[in-house]
Amino acid sequence: MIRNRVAIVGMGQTPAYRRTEASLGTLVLRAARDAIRDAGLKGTDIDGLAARVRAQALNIAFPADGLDRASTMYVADGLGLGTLSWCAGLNEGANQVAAFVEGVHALVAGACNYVLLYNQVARPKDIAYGATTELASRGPEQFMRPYGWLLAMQRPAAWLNRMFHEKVLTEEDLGYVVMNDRKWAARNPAALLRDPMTMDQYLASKPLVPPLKLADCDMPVDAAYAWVITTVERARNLPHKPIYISAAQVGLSPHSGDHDSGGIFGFPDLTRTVHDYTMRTLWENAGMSRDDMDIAMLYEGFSPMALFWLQALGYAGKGEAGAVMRDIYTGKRGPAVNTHGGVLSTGRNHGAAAVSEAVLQLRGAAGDRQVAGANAAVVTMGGIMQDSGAMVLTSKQA
Amino acid sequence: MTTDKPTRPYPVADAETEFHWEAARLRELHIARCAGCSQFIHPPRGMCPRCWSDDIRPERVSGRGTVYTYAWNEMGGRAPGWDGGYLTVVVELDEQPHLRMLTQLVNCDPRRVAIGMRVRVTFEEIGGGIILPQFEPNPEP
Repeated sequence: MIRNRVAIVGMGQTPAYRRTEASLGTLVLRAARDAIRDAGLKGTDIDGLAARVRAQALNIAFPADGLDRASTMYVADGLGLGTLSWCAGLNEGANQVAAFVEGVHALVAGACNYVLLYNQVARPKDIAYGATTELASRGPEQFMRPYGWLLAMQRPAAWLNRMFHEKVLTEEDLGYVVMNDRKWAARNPAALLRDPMTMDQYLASKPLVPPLKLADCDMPVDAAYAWVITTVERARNLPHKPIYISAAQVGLSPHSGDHDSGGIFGFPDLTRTVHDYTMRTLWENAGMSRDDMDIAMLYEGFSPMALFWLQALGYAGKGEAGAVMRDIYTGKRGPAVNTHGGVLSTGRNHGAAAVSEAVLQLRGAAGDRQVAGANAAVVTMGGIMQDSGAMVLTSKQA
Repeated sequence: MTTDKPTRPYPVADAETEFHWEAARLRELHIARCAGCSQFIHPPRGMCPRCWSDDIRPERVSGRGTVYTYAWNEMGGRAPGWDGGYLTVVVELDEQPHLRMLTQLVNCDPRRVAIGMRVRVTFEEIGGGIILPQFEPNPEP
């Protein structure tokens, strides 16, 4: 029940202009600034952000952040906010956790009883993924596309080149992520790439945007995924063993940039990612530690992202993620990672298959690839800058 | 001045970015700067993220910087004008830590790129009277 538990304490608005030189993004920032000041607060007090974000000019195929809309990323960055521990309407990208977070909050608030969550992924038809014939580059992209900054994989590649320079990661470190995915995919009938891979085979994979190779990138697929969540009282009367959600959070870090450019322009340290900030509270929120996890589903739309997650979750210190991944691959240490084969083997489902795999493992129903006695799993989603989300799941209610 | 439209992705200026492209036409590099707290802001914004001032003004900068990182796109850009391998560079300008621009390395073999390389601004016309600030190796220390 929300009855009288929340209050409105600040407001801001701009004049309604028929014509103005200011961009839509600037108007949003001014209104937001004035609302925070009206509340007697500072930017650093704000740790949650929500918006109904919609491109104003609906005939624009690629709305520009700050011009046609102002994403929550644009507003957080434009106000210079700190780490946000909750964010809604973050963007439209790769984060299945965001829907879970909203559903969990609604159930806890008593807004509904059974929530249906769904995911859809689509493979572009008759055009290469990320291809475009549009030359006019508007908004933040006017400082990007004219310089050939056109593909999603250029971003992690630039991050990696900096990390390699600072000796935080090596090419072989990425190989262990791919080899580990393939190791598990061999036991997953639903995986698409099921052949094991050696380090030599990995290093010989076709270079796309070096150091990223074909083997480092997930492949587009058509697929749909759905889940039902409810309160624990109701869960007890249903057929399956309940899988409890100990923590579910999405967040945003300082300097993460706008939706279209990400942090490439202003993120201070490219040996880190947004998750290093947003996930500091995960284990405290879950009431469990990383060492309690039997399984870690680490999102890796590009292979290095799994290594970034090992660092953000505290499994590896700076410069250690590759060695930790190697030991996980060889079975020398836990947790088991990406036991379905990851998105690299199962297709570009934006991490949806990872949620279902974690549930299957915690139900004890994962067949040939069942991790013996698996009681707890962490499931992460999100790449480098946008979409930082994670859940901690357990089959045992504390 | 040629009036042909560029055959590769080109910038479309808006009210908050026009100064940057106008300056490039005069072969100068101008970056948005907050008159309240002196913070440079790129890409330009209408409000300062640090002190929340609305008073953002263009300022000419030295055009000197350092290669912060880069991406060599071996597979091509999947857009007109970007066939084959090419380089995109992230340059950090001398004026302020973490003040970065995307650019391309011109007037040298792009395969020579290295993090830490000193660079300076130069200008390239891409058609339609549009001139892009670009960067080239800077032999000065």
